[in-house]
Amino acid sequence: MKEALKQRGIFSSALMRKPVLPLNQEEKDWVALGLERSQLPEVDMTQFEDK
Amino acid sequence: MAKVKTFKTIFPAVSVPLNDDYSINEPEFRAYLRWIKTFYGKGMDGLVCNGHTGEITGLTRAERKRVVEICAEECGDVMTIISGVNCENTAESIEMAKEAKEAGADGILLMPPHMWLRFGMNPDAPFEYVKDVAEGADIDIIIHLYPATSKAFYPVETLIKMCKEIDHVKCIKMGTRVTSIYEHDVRLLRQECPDISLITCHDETLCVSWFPGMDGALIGFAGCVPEIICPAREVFANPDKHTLKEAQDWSDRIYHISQAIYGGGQHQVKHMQD
Repeated sequence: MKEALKQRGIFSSALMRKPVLPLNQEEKDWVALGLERSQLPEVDMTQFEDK
Repeated sequence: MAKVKTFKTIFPAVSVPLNDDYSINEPEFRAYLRWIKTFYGKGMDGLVCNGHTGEITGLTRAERKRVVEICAEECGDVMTIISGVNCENTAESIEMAKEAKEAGADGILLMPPHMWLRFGMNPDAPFEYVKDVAEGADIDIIIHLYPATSKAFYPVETLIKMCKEIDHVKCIKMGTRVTSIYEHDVRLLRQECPDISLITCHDETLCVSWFPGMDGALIGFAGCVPEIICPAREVFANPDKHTLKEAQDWSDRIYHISQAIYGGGQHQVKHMQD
């Protein structure tokens, strides 16, 4: 989930606390393909950031 | 406009961004919540923090409370704020529920104690647990129903008793995950407890799980791709205004990212299959 949030530009990091381990590149690519096929673009978060 | 507390909606189980030192990245969390709030009035009128997606088991008790405070500050003026409570004993569960309430939660998502997953439980224990927490903290409750394949699953007779005898029980997060039992229990709960909100937590088969006529969803997925979850929900919430083809089209679109994140099951299933 966090990797998808990162790839969409919503989170800057997909970091989770151990013992959860980061995804490998194949898994990240799988998420990217899923986002593309479901037509989910990046989100412009600048409008939601603290001014 | 005055806030209306609701249990019949989509609740995204929000994630919590972390800094490199594993502390909560509060500015980014706030920005994320402001984005989530833009889906208020579009089928997503509440949110759940401290769910499994929100890494409740990885957060300290103080962090869980802080997460609720931030959610309430950013979205609590209009959205229904629910906090997960996950604890191994009743007394501390009541304390955590009270802390969530103090921090601005409108209700709690009460998870079964982890030890029940390992050992199972006395059949009367789930009812007593929910009743004690509801009365001890005086707070509304969403029952977190674990999978029928787990030892912490609550039989439908137990759920009906909770709904009928505990006023604070407002909603069941139906995580049954065995379709035949899911549909049976939904239909029986509808018959016996018509006022209780029944919402799916089947992220991986979302549209399919909406078919029995659900009141919403409580899913981490909605905190990541709400742009496709909300309009899909509209189709299933108002079937008289839509066609089966529309429902299938939304299901098709959701399917790809669902597969990428859930791999046809719950988290980590892909690892286990490899």
